[in-house]
Order: sequence, then C-alpha cells, then structure tokens
Amino acid sequence: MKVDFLSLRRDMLLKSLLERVAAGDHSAVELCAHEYGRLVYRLATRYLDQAPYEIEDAVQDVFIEIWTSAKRFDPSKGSEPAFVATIAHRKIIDRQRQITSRRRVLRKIKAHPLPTSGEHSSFSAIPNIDEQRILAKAYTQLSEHEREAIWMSIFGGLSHYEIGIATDSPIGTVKSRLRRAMINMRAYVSARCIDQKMTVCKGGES
Amino acid sequence: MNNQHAMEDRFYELLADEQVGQLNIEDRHELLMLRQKLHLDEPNTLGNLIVAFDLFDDLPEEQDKLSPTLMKSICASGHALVARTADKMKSEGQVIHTIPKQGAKHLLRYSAAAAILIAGVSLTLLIRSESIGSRIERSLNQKIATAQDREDELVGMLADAMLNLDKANQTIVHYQTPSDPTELLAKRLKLIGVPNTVQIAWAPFNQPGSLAEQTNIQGDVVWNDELGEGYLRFVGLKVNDPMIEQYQVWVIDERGLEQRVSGGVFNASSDGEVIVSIEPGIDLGRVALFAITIENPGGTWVSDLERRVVVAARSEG
Repeated sequence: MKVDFLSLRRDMLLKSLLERVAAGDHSAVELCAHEYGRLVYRLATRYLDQAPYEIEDAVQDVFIEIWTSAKRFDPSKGSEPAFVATIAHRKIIDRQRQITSRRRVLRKIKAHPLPTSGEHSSFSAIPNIDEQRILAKAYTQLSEHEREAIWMSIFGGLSHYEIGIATDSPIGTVKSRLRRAMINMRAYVSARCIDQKMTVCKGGES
Repeated sequence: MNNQHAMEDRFYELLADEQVGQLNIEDRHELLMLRQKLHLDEPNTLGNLIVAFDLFDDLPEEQDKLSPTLMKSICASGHALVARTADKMKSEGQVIHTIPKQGAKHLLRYSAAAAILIAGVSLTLLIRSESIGSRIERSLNQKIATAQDREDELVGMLADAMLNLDKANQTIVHYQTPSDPTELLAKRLKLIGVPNTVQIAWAPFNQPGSLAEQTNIQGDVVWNDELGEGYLRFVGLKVNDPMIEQYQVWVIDERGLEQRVSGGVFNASSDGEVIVSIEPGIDLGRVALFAITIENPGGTWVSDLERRVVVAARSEG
C-alpha cells in the first residue's frame, strides 16, 4: 500500500476525525473512539435502563453506525459532536423502544429532574460561549409545556402518541409544542450567533 | 419577497418536524424540494441540544468509563470498515493518504519498518548473486504476499459481517419498534384509497385435522401489489410475551405455500386493535395469501406451520 506521509500530515491537521475515517485513515479510528466514546456511553447509560453488557452492546452498535456514516459528515454544515450525538440518539432510542418497557421509561423520565428556567437552574447560569451553551440557554427560555415535550421526546424517546398520554394532551398539541420549541430554539441561537459575530453556527447531520 | 419568507418559514417548520421525528411522506417530499430550492443553513438543533444536556450531566464516574474490551471492540469495527473503504478506494484507483493500521503512534513503527526495509533491500542486493539467497527471497515474498492476501480477505469478511449485522439489527428494529397507531391507521386508510389495493378479512388458519391456535380474531389485510406495501389489522389477537414467542407474517404469492416469504415479526401488545405495517423487502408477484403463525422470538426462515393463527386468502381474479 502506498503511504503518502505529506498528505497524511496535511489531513491530520486540516480534516476532522470523521472525514479522516471516511477517507480510510486508520489512525483516526482510535482518536475518534476516545473523543466520542464517553459521550456515546453516557447517552446509552442515560437512555437505557439495562445491564452493563446491554449498554456496551448499544455503544458498539452506535459506533458501527458512526463508522458507516462518517462519509456523510460535512463540517461546513455543523459540528462533529452534534453529528455524533444525533446518530447516537437515533440508534439508542431505537434500541430503547425495542427492549425497554414504556412504563419503565416513563418512570425514569419522571424521576429525572426536568431542567427548568428558574434562577437557580444550572442552565440559566451558563455563559454564552459556544453554540451548545447558547442552545442550553435557549431551552431555558421555552415554556414549561415545550420543555416537557422536548425532554420526553429527546431523553425519553417517547413517541408523540406516548407523550400525549403521559401529559394528558392531544397528539396535535404535542406535535405543535415540539415544533414550536425547535423553531424557537433555532431562532434564539441564530440571533445570539449574529450578536456574537460567530462565523460558524450551524448544525450537523442533515 | 413574502413568498420567499413563507417558504423559509415552512422549511424551518419541516426541519423542526424532521428532527423530532414527525415527518410523513408528503412532508419529506416537500422538505426535499425546499432544501434543493432554498439552500439554507440547517442547524442541527437536536444534536447540539443533546451535547448541551450532556455537558451538564453529573453521572457517577463509574458510569462514564469505557472498558478496555469495549474500546478494543469499537476500534476493531472501525478498522474493519476503514479497511473496506480503503480497499474500495484502491480498486477505484484512488491514492490512500493513510497509515494502514492502528494509528498515529505507529508513525515511529513505520519509520523503523522503513529502516528495516532499506537494510533488507541492501542485504537482498548482497545475497542476490547467490542462488540460495534468491530462493529464500522468493519464498519469503510468496509467503508475505499470501499472508497479506489472507489478511485483506479476513478484514473484508469482517467488514461485510459487520455491515450485515447492522442491516439485520435495523430490520429487527424496523419490525419490532411499536409505531404510532394513529399514524399507521392514517396510512392504512390512505392505502385503501389507492387504486388496485385489496382488503381481505382474516379467517382461522385451519388445516385438515388441525385447528388454528386462536379463534374469534377479527380484522383484515390491506395490500397493494404495485407498491409492495400493506397493513394488517387485528382485533382480539392474544397478547404475546416477545421474550417467549412472536407473531410472524408470511406472504405467499402465486407460486404457492412452499415459496412463502417472511413479512416480518410483530407483537400484540394491547388487547384492543393492533395495526402492523408490512414490507416484505423483496419484489413479489401477485400476492395470493397472507398467513400469521407463532414462532420463537425473532421469527424463523422456514416455518413448520405448526402454530397457525389466521389467514387471509385473496379471491381469484
């Protein structure tokens, strides 16, 4: 196999980890696993009420998807952590729906404190230093119903139908709360990015 | 100008819906059209929000570490798929700007290997004049070439196996994930309105001398041959324990029962109405019959039809 050290060095400096994986660069594999392994593991632990070997199986599953999806990552469209988080979220929620009883999920969600917009919330004390932190601030600006819907959808993996049952709301209301919440958060982030003259404030996976 | 703003607003509405998983087929189509037309930034609000929440999570430290075995396994799958990519690029004539294995820390090993290679070449030049040296060199080269071929073959097989496993997992998830019943109901009604869609009522799957395992099951199959899409509706199907058994759908075309194709497995998780979507995944001819059996979890490739439930047979013509 021909090894082009000059190009390799250039790639290591300029390309993101996923771009290097997609380009067939073995050296990026370990780096990527170390960079995002803990994030994926934490998500799996949080979403899945399962034995450790099930968690490990889910993490392995997510990484197979990350490797195969690496070629779809476009850094001009957003951050690499957000791209990885989106993949991890989808895979783990799929698994959660497959193996975890809905009652257990609901119990877990109810036991987990919902981040609030109050003065003492850890979210409201976050300085606007990057897009994730701005987004966390944006979340605290949502109404309680919107935050609840987002929390149940993203962290509970509940379908709109299930959120409707859990919150005693019609499914149409759930859908419009989720849509409004996502649009409001995007608008908030977009405005803050312009305020702070951030050049790149875009999303990841499309 | 107003029209442009309205389109942008609609685009961001659909994008929000996509990220929280509520796009139907028409919406998906509309989003695609707007995407191609407007070329707007697409903020990944969902991904960024997950990362944001993660930043402030205070999981105990022991829940935050990957075991060395898991890390090794993750990296192995990555290397296998990267090797596959590299092989593909090589076969397409592209130059691979990469170190073949294990990472940047191996740069030093490559330098060492290069030094050994130079030394080896010098040594080879020295012994080349001697016939015994030539024979050893040829033999070694053959062995190295064979080993490399074998390694490439094994890496390829591993990558293929992992891709297949992933596809299989996706299929399992597809058939086992409970879908939103109202959404399925709406899709079923929509399919009924499509020309050439048939609607067939369930009947007990009795065979001579052997009755169906469940009786009094109501409902029907709605199926369209051209679209290869259909929905099964059951009322009164017994709730199953997915850890012990699952219902399996069999689709039989005009070739007969021997050529039955699995349409997937599903669970009856409520006492009321159950609606299941069916996509056999391969092209079928004119479907003649749908049958439901009870099988072990995950279903089976070939059913002995011992535990039969219901059947829906299409009338001739």
